[in-house]
Order: sequence, then C-alpha cells, then structure tokens
Amino acid sequence: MSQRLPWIAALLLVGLWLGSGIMVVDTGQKALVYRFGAVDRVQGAGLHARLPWPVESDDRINVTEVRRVEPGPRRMLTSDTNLVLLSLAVQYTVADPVAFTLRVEDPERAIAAMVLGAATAGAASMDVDDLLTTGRGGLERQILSAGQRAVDSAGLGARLVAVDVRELAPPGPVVDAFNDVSSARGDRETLALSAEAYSSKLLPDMRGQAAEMKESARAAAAVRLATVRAETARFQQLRAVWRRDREGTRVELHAELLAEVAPQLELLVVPTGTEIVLPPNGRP
Amino acid sequence: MSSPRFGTPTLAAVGAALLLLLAGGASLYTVDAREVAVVLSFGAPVRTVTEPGLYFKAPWPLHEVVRFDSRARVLAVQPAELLTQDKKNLVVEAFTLWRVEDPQRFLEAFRPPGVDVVQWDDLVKAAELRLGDLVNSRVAGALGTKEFSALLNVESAETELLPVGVGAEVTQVAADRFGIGVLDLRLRHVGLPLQNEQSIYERMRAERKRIANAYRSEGEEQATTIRARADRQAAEILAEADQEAARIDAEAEAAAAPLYAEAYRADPEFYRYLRSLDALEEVLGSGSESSAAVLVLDSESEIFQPLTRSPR
Repeated sequence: MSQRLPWIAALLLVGLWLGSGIMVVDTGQKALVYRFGAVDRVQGAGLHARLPWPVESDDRINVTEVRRVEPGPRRMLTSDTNLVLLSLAVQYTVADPVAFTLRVEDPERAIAAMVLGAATAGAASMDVDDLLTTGRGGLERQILSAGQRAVDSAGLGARLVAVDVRELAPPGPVVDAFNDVSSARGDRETLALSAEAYSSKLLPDMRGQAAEMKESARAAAAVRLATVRAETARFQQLRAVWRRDREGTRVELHAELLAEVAPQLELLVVPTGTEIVLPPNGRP
Repeated sequence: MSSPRFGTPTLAAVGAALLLLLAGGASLYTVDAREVAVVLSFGAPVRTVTEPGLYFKAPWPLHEVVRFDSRARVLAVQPAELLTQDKKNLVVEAFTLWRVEDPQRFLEAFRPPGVDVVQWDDLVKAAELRLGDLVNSRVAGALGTKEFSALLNVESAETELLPVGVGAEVTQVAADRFGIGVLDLRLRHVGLPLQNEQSIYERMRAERKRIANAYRSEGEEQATTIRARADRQAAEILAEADQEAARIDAEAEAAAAPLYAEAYRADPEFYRYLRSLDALEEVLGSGSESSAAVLVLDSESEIFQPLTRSPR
C-alpha cells in the first residue's frame, strides 16, 4: 500500500495542475488567453478551459465597466486670448480588449492627454463669451469626437462614452469682474423694470385725473345751465310782479337784499350831515 | 515489496529528471505579447525577438535574455516655453506614445557604460529624457515659425494644434537614433507663461468692466426712455382732458347766453335793474368776518323810519 502513495500524490499534483487551466469568466469580462506569451484567443463570459501554465495563461478584462478619468483643471486660451478654467470628466469603456491590454502601458493616461489636447483646441476655437454661456454642450461634443479620433488613430482600443465639462469658469483672479458683468445685466433689467413700473402707475393715474377733469367740467356745465334757467325763470316771475307793482317790488327787493347782506356788514349809523373822515387804512 | 515492473522513483531518478528539466528550462524562453526581447551573449546582442512565443537559446551563462516592455508608454513631455514668430511667449506641453521598436539600437543608445545588469527603469528614464528633448526642440522649431494668432486660429477641437510634419520628423529621428517607435505625438496643452497670464487678466478685467458699464448705461437709457414716454403720454392725456373740459365749458356758456339774451330783450330796464341788485349783493356779501364791508347809513334813512314813525 505504502508504495502506491507517491503515485497517488503525483497524480493529484498533475490533476491540480491541469485543473488550474479551468477559467470562469464573469459577465462583462473577456479573457485573453496567451500561449507561450502570444495572444491565442479571446473568450467571453462562461466556463472555459486552457492549457495550464507555463503553456497558456490568461488575463481578464472588464469590457462593460464604464471607466472614468478626469483631465484638468487647466487654464485654456480662448480664440480672443482670454483664459478660462476648464476641468473635464471622460467616461470610456474598453472596445477592443486585446488592443487595450497590449498597445499602451497606461491607456488611461493616454486618453486623458488626448482629451486634454482636444479640449485645448476646442477652447481655442471659441471666444470667452460663447464658451461661458452657450458653448458648453458644443464643446463637450467636439471634445468627444476629436478625442475619439485621437484614441482610434493611436489604436488604444477604447470607446469614449461621454465627455463632461465639470468646470468651465473664469479663472480666480477675474471671477469678480465676470460676476460684475452678470450683476450689471441684472441692473439693466431692474432699471428698465422700475421705469415700467413708474409708467404703469403714472398712466392710469393720469387717465383718472383726465376723466375727473372732464366729469367736473360736465358737472359745472350742468350746474351753470340749471342756474341760468333758474335765474331766467326768476326774472320772468319778478318781471310779472314788477309790471303790476313797481314800487312794491322795488321795496321788497331792496329789503331782501339788505337782509341777505346785512349779517356780513358792519353797519355805521350817523346823523344826517355828519362828515366821515376815512383813516389811511380805509376803515373808520 | 516494491514492484520492479513499474519502477519506484528513486532519489537518483528524480534528481536526474529535475536536472534535465532545469537544463531544458534554461534554454527555453517565452516572449510575452507585452514584451520584446534581446538575447545577449556575454553582453553582446545576438538576436532580437519582437514576436511573442516560445524560443530556444543556449543555456545560461552562454546566452541571457533581456526583456523590454513592448507596449507604448505615455510620455508627458515637460512644458516648454517658446517664442512665436511675432515674439509672443507660449508654454506648450506635448505628449507622445512611444515604445521600443529596435531593442538592440535602444539598448545601444541608452545602456549606461560599464553596467552589467541593465535596469529597465533606468533605460526608460534615460530614453524619456532624450525623447522629451527631441520633441520639445522640434515643436519649438515648428511653432517658432508661426504667428501667435495663426496658432490660435483653431476651427474646432478636431483641429490639430501641432503643425503637420513635426510628428513624422520626430518619428524618423527617434527610430534612427534610439530605436524608438513613436505611435503618436500631440500637444496636450498650449498656454501662457505665468507673467503673461497676469497681463491677460488685466485685459480681461478691463473688458468685463467695459461690458458691465455698457449694460448699466443701456439700462439707464431704457429707463429714461420709458419714463419720458410715460411722461409724454401723461401730458397728452391731461392736455386732451383740458381741451375737452374747455369745450364743455364753452358749450355750456353757448347754451346759457341765448337764455340771458332772451330775458334782456323781454325787458331791458328791469333786467339791468335786477342784475345791478345781484351785483350789489355780490359785492356787499363778499366780505368776511375780519374785513367786513362797512355800510354807513344816515339815521334819517328810510329803513329806520319804522323805528321813528308809525305807518300812516
């Protein structure tokens, strides 16, 4: 019995060695199988076998994972020789696992540098006002397509999914000047609005006042006509009386007048023939 | 008892097998897909292997294998300050993807003299230093013949910042001198020296100031226009109302006048008399408490007669 033990041990070792060639490739992964160092085949997700080391070996690459690299922040020259602060986030996936693994030692650094270069050109193609207001989306699209072109021409085996502008702002030393412009833009609105407010208060007030003037003129006219009619009616009546009795009417009218005005008069009764000297102020 | 037919592995047999394996292993070598290799014989290169696979060589110490990473490396070249044709300063940063393409030439170019054990890292450091210098000198040479404005005259992110030809030139020189293959050469950034940025900032600030002032003046202009228009409209409304009121007055006057005239014509004498009484009432009745009109009456006046005389 004891003589077979070495054989069993040897068989076990061989079995283990062969078993090391079994590969379980996870979903979303690709396995690169090398035979004596050269890429022999690429296996997708599932259970696969390869020859054990040192004949074959394998590398697993995650091809569905969205990877991320963030170039910047850097100060970029614009087409009108201003400077803006730009930082980006690039998302990419592995499109060709063989190229991605074998072509470049650190593909992520290469992608970051290429995207940064595209961003430098992109920023230089727009002026500062466009960049800071409406240019962000266009810049992102431009960088994405230019970056992808660079990545393809270097054969990195990566696909850029998205380029996001994380920060696009005036540099620190001039931030206040840019803020002042936007507050000036606000001031412009405010000034115009307050003038509109003045106008929309003033005009209704004036229309009211105008209506009041016309109405009071109409009222005055009505009163005037009514007065005239009353006066002429009184005239006709008194005239009828006058015709019948002139003296009586006269006495009556005078008495009426005196009674009417007397409360507002100072009466000075003097004997007949008295001379009255008026003082300089015209009052006795 | 042991079975002679199968043979028991003896110490001697196992030792012999191991020795054979070692000898075989020492003369077999693999080159990985990420490597290129140079076989050296006492320091002198014998052959170069650029294709991955399994190879034979004479066992050590006759032959030894030096391996290089065959993948491209990213070299972010040191920023270089340069002058454009119109004497403007620029700071450009290039980057390049390079790899060992001719291992023998690479080794010749960068192997430090008198060192037996070649360190890959040392080779890379030396190579990147030289390659960086090469890139910067060619980039500076190419950009130095351009005007600053032409350099920044870029249509889109797709535009190459590096003048055409520089890449090919660098590739050629790097291959000939260093055994290096340049896969890609680009600018990753173009900027200004710090002291020039200050003057840009001042200009930017001045420009923003101008824009802010323009906005504020525009606001004043709009506000003044709106107010003036409102004032004008208000004046028009009032003038129109004034005119209308005057017309109404005149109409009333015109309606009143014939009535008076009719009365007058009916009896001019009585009319005048009555009007004069009215006028008198107006005059006498207009006084106030402090400045009442004074009416001086003769004590013999008719109105006192009821006090002194009895009616007839």
